[in-house]
Amino acid sequence: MERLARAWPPVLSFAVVLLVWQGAVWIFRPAPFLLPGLDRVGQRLVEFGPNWPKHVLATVESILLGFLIAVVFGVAGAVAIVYSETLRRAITPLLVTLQIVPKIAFAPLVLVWFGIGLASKVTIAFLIAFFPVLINTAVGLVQVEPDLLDLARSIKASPTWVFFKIRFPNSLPYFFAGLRVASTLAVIGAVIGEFVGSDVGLGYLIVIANNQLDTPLGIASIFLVSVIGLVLYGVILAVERLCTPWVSAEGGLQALI
Amino acid sequence: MGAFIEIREVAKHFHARAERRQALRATSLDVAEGEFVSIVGPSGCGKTTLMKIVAGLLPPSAGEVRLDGVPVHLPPDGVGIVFQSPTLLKWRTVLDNVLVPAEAAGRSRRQYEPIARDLIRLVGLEGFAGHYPRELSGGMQQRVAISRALLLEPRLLLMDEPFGALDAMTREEMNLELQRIWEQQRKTVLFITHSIDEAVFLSDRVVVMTLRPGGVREILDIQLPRPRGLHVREHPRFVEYVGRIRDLIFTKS
Repeated sequence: MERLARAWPPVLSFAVVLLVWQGAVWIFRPAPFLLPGLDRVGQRLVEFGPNWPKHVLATVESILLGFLIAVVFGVAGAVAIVYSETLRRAITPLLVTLQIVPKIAFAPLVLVWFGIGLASKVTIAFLIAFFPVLINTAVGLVQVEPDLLDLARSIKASPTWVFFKIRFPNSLPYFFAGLRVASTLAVIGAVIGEFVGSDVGLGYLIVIANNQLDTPLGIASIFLVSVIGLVLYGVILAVERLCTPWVSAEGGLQALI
Repeated sequence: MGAFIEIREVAKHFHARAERRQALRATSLDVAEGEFVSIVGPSGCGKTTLMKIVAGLLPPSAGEVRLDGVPVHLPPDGVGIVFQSPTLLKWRTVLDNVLVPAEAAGRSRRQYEPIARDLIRLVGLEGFAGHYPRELSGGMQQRVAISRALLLEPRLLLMDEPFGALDAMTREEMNLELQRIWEQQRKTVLFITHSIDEAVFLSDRVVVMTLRPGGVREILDIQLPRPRGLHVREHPRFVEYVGRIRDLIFTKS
């Protein structure tokens, strides 16, 4: 009963959006290439059936690879800048500058470097998703109560113990918050990669559909990209709950979502 | 033969932007083994600095601390610390938090688990060994911190405003509890507080520190019978001590 009571507001908000959309189609009767109705999008989704898997899998592959590389480099970078003063001073200004540069602007250049195909898409997804993982993990490793570190010194805990038993678990909620942001960014990166440098994938389909004024296909592709993003987000959330059971579902970072 | 804790002319200053800031004026104090000594004073008088120096967490700029005759440079063995915040590991249960000092020292869990369970009982948390910190109130979390500090059977317990973040009623309750624990274990306790009332209630001696002039202003012997109950606060001598300390803190010499 309680779950049901908690579930109705989001269901309602989605229903309202879809209703406004369909209502606009009924009332204003726009040309289908401007705004197709839900029925047309659904119809196209089914029609295109056997062609979907190839494109969906290509996009999923780019997203996952870009995301995983971002996680590996983000965590390694965070540990490096937290533990080495020199590295911190060498890398941090560079990273901040890179973060300020809109990485989407690099997309055409990445295409020149890596050519049409997987490498370009993964690189763009990685570039966009990398920074939040690095920053969040670094913050989580550093933001330990000073008294807790004094306690560790007073009981003569080794640096390894402090890392694995204090800093690492302390960073987990921050790390997962970074992962969640990175997962949505990796989706954006992969789609942009497919806009500029691919002959397969949902991003590629969106461009093609646009060129052919096949708006129902474009919207169906956007719908599938969103589903992929949602699934990835959900998986991360589930792993997060499993790994950080001490973060209360009501009061923690997770509660914001 | 010196006292258990000998604090000799210990001073500390910090450098902040080419400016030398005095955190603690030359301070001397002796504490006997088994004694409960409170240090009371306003914020900024250097009482926490003094405690950190005794704990070996901060090197003094001048002077020396000896613990049982041995000069303190690094954190010495046989010292348990309770901080103002409970400093618990949120991802560990009460039992696993209490076991932290044994684990960090690489000692066997099997040997210390019964001790930890006894201590959890001693601080009145029986039945909570499997709970996570967020399931406990502030007072209960501080009880966990106290059992953790007692795990390795320290000879000295350093407490830095341990009840400062608690509400007034929980605080009185914790004072009673701490007295009961101290009666049972008879550890030497160095207790930092800014509550005059709490210092008099708990201590054998109260060290009064002031801002100007900085450092130890006076040391009072508290002669009230133990165990002290809730109503000792109405004892004429209790009232007299509190008044005397308040005068020392709020009037310039």
